[in-house]
Amino acid sequence: MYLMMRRFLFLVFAIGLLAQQEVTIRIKGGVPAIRIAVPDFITKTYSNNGKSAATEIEDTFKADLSFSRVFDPLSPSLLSIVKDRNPEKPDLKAWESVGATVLFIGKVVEEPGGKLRFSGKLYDTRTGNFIFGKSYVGKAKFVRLMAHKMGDELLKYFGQPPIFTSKIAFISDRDGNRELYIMDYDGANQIRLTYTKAMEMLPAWSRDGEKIAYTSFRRGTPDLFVRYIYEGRDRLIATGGSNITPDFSLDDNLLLYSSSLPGNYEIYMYNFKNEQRRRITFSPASDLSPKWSPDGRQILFSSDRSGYPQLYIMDRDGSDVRRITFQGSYNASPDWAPDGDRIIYVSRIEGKFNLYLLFLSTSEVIKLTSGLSMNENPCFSPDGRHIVFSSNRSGKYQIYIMDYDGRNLRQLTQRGNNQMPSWSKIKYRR
Amino acid sequence: MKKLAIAFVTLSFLFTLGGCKKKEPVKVVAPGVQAPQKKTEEVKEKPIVKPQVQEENIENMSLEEINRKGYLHRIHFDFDKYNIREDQKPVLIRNAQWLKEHPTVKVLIEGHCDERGTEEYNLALGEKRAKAVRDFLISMGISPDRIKIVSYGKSRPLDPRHNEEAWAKNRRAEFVIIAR
Repeated sequence: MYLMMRRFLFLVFAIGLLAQQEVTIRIKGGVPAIRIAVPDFITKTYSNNGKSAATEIEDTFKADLSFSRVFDPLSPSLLSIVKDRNPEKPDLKAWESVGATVLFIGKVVEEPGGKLRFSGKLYDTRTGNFIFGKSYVGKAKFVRLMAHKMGDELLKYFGQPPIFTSKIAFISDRDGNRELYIMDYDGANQIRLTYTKAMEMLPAWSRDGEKIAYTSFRRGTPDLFVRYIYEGRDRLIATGGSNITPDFSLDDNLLLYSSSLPGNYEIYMYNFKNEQRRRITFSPASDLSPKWSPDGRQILFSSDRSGYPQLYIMDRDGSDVRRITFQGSYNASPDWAPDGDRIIYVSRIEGKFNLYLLFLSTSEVIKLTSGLSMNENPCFSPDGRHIVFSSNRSGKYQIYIMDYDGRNLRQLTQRGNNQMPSWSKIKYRR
Repeated sequence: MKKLAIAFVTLSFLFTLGGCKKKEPVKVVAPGVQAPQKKTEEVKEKPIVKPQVQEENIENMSLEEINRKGYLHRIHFDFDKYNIREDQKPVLIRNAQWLKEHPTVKVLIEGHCDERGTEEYNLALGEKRAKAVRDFLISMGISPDRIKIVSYGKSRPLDPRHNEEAWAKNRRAEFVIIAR
């Protein structure tokens, strides 16, 4: 008893100390950015549509590389130094001399029938080797996808997850009530998926990118559904009580979610194959937002079992529960980075929400957003280098992305309130 | 039920009389105008309007109409709390009385929160508020099978502003009649 008391006092003291300091260290980038030269594309177009499509391909491709934090594209002034632009036999020595380690020669040709062909060649300027060539053909309305696919090939060549074709699911009230939408990672191609005129919320992508689990009030109460987005059908997963915050397992067979069916929110695991569900947590508190660890062995979740929401990790069978957040009195909405070490979450201080990053290996905590607005529902990109979240910093709630260190903030949505983003996953192994 | 009906009739009667008195000045004749003597004499006898009341029977009303009438009143909560505040108990007691007088009515209790919680925890908090209200009504003798609950978290604020006044309004439980 005495020992417990001493431990308790120590804990209170430690929390008090931790709460005082706000760490503002910046982490180092994962890999050194690759210096890539992307001179202006060679284009052969015959119509205005073809011309604008060619421009869009080039702009999209370059924007992808700049966004990635994997590549560090040479500035236009550096590019302009190299005069020899023979696309068939590029002067690789000249490109190396201005700092490029790789060179990308892009070409867009308008084909008969209005289709566009986007081909690209990648060279190693040091060895002088041709690395690979790729070519995509598609209608003008799919030119962004062609650009993203080319970018993905570059990422894969350098051993990085192909994120440019990834998507973001979100909830928008732009047409009156909260419905489910998806868009490209860069905010293009925003598409509405549900027309329930009820309320949808808290979507989560499957790993194969073809399903979205989400909560819908279409039957009056918050029930859990899975939308098969390329089939346009829904499957009811959980009803009775409130059923929210789903997360797909690595093989998409097990869905974690929270249900208030037993009287308070507990974490459940639903098996798509045998349609059985298993309760994982047993506490009188609200256990919410379960997230699979990247290796599938553990579950991250939030619980107010200590009085206010804090983050916990447990084994996938519910055993060995340990608390991981000790700063702040309201920590929720966590997401686990693909590297397994970083956890992003929302912390409430004086009624405002900001995003924090916790390093499990060092227990270090970094504040990523600041200000008096709300920053909510953070979610990592499939490569862990970017974070999507919603914020009302500009008035209404909008969806933003930023890099892992808080840099390069971009607003992706404009109309209505846009919230609760989920970045799609990628099945990718090096 | 009967008592309430009588009280309603009486009230309506008094109200009708009151309304009649107000009409008097119309009959006053402006000076200088020669009015027919007969008519001024007639008004000395105040006419009595025949009392008319409409029977208010919720069985004849649509659910929409019933809910528009607002027989059941919302209650409010403290920040991050879901216990029924002392000052809100009289409202719930009145709601319970009305439900007892209308034993066929079923009600949906909606729990709502202010914006200072995450979507997820506000859904949980709203549910706790709705449950606290349900438990209170049950303790007042209302049958549990007449009560449904739902939480909307912070998704449906009454007041969209971001200040104490708005937050206090938005932390609430609403009553929606779903069967009469």
